[in-house]
Amino acid sequence: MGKAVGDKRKRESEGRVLLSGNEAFARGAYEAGVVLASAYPGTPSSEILLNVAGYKEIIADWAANEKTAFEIGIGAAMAGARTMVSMKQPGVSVALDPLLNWSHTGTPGGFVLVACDDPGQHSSQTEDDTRTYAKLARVPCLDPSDSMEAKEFVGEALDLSEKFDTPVIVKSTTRVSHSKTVVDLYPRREYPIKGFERNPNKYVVVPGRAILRETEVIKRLATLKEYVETSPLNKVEWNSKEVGIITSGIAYYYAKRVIPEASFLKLGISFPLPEKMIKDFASKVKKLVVIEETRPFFEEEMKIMGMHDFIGMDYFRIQGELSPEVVREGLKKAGIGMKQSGPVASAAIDAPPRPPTMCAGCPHRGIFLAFKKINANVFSDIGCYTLAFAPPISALHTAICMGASIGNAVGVAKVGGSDKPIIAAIGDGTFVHSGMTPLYDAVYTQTNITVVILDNRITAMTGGQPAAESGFRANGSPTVTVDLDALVRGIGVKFVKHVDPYDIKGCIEGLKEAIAFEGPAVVLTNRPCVLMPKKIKGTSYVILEDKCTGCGICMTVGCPAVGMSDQAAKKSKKGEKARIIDTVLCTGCSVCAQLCPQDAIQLMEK
Amino acid sequence: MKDNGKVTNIFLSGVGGQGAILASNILGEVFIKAGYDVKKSEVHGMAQRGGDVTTHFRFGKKVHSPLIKYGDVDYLLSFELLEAIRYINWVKPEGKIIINKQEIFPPAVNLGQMAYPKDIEKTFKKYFKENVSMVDGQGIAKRLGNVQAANVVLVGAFSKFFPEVKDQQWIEAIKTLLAPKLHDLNVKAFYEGKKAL
Repeated sequence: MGKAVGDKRKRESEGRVLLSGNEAFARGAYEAGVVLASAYPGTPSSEILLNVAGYKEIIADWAANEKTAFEIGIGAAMAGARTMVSMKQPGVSVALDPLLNWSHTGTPGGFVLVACDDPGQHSSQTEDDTRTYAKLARVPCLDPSDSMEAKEFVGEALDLSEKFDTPVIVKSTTRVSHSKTVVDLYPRREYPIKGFERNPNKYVVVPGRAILRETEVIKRLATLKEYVETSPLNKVEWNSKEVGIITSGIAYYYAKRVIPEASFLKLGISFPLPEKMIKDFASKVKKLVVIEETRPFFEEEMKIMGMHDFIGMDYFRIQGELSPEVVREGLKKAGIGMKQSGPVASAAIDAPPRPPTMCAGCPHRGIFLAFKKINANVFSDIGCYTLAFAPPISALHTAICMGASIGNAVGVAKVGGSDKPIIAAIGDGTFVHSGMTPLYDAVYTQTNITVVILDNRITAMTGGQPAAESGFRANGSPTVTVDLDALVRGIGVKFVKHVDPYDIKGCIEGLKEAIAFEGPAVVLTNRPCVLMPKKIKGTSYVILEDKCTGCGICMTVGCPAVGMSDQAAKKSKKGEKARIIDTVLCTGCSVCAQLCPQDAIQLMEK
Repeated sequence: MKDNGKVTNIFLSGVGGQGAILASNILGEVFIKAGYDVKKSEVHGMAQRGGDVTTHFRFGKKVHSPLIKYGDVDYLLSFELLEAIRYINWVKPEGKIIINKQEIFPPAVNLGQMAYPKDIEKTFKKYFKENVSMVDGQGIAKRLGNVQAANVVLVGAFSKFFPEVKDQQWIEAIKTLLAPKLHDLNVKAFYEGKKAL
């Protein structure tokens, strides 16, 4: 952004607010004239589309998966509309095929992919780095440090996209996406939709044409390498020349926090790197330090540039998130003095961990307890129900990646590798994401597996985003509901049964029938999520103190509403054996009551 | 707060569903309206499922990192006893602490695999003496007619640390962030919390 333009926009400011990085990406799309936004939910990226859907100027929808989200985005950009696609970093692997090809063809409308990494794996299967995808796809990658930059970089990315005929990635991390920082709001700029223009030589990737595009991509990367040397997004801040720090993203602020006296090269563009700028900066400081999060990407790129004399990732971390402490400790290890003193800690206490659990009244609980009763090998998937792997439920045995459950079950069954019934357990959202195609494989090969679709009618784990089974769209407007029963029958499944997941006995019977059936069988559960889109609260159950023997079987359902407490123990004559149900949390699902051998768990009288 | 160069570090901790994130949003509204640079960071996504929730909240003239450094917390506001003791060594020796008296057992304790720490209040008082305050957020909110207002009771108690901020600024923030039908209850909760400290 040039200075004159910046001043003009400042004058037009619509106010100053505190926004999370994800809210800021959404605002950035609004201000930069984005017409279509497409996404698949995944922490820490989900709030981006959720907030975009609040702007009536933007058509915003959740797609079936990241690949279709990306391809719908390509379509809008083919029509010349400014487009934003968003997903978490593991989602980029799902969308890699269209990303690589879209890089080859180039884009007539501005196209930005916002991808959120999750260093520290707060809620992800892997700890990977979007910058490596940018390098693979040979597209620019912008790297904001706070919410103001998150918002502005969306516009910058779209400008670059149009200028260099390339999709552009804006990379975020959990801390950038989920930290709230101050943002100045500017008005929206409109960009007319140009409309689809035929240009098959550019947009049909048959080998004879694609080879010509390869030449263009090589040329484009060379031009981009020149551009980044002078881009205002890469900034040098001169302070003491004793220590010079090359950094980007949230790491910039951690370093500023612990060693503000150093000089900084803050890279707003983390691919391609400005080689001349980096070498010039390095030549002017006594000690050079590279501070980056996730993978040693800058470090490796600098080594390719022939640079070896710097302090790199080994000093800071090899796994997990950065933090001001990690940066501080790393600099200390490298023998770099800091003006600030270290912390004075008091006592450390060994506190029991508090992992996430299935909610009170969760419809997944009963059916997983049924899986356990029939002692099946359960190949599962990614969603809230993955929590059933943890004690006390401990009823699933694999979860590899989105949509893997059915394919995994087919493979095990084909080699005859299980002496127990084979169940593939997959949520409705994940089934739509990538479970339909492996079900086709099961039908095609007539493999003897039982597929259980845990249909709670929402994408719950990521905060309750609607999908094709929900009946409404991202902005809340009603739409048709995809009929999963008809869908699986359409694929060719001959056995389809519906069960109530709150009824453990009913589930066991339904599962036994499905397992006995020759060929692939599908069992569908029929209870919605208790939290989303509407909170469901029935009459609570209570534990009758006189009947309860304190055996603890009710605790094996792993429900946060059923428990013990020192406070309750003090009041009860049973002491530590006293069990209580939190009547605020209990939704009345009855699963614990079904298991109680004493009938001591009863509906609360009104 | 009068020292413009200083950044104040507030750490909030609790259990998913207790409303700790709303409480930190109220703080955000208040201090941004008072003209400060504010940064706050939380990890959510799993929080709805009863996991632990923490918020790092920093305000001052210019704030760089959204994360507080270990041992650098000026104020700890905790919604649950275990979630308070978990972070005791994040607090500066002269730090101030408010703890909600609620006790929520995590799965490992419910399953009898681990013990819930005893004497949490005593431990805090040993290190931080009179800078530790205990508040019965649930009890007060229950008397007002809705246990779910316990988080705003705690915000009310917490507001006592910032006498420069007028009650009206807190009330406005609460009204900005909550639906109109919840305004009366939560304004009462704020004042009752203030009285409790």
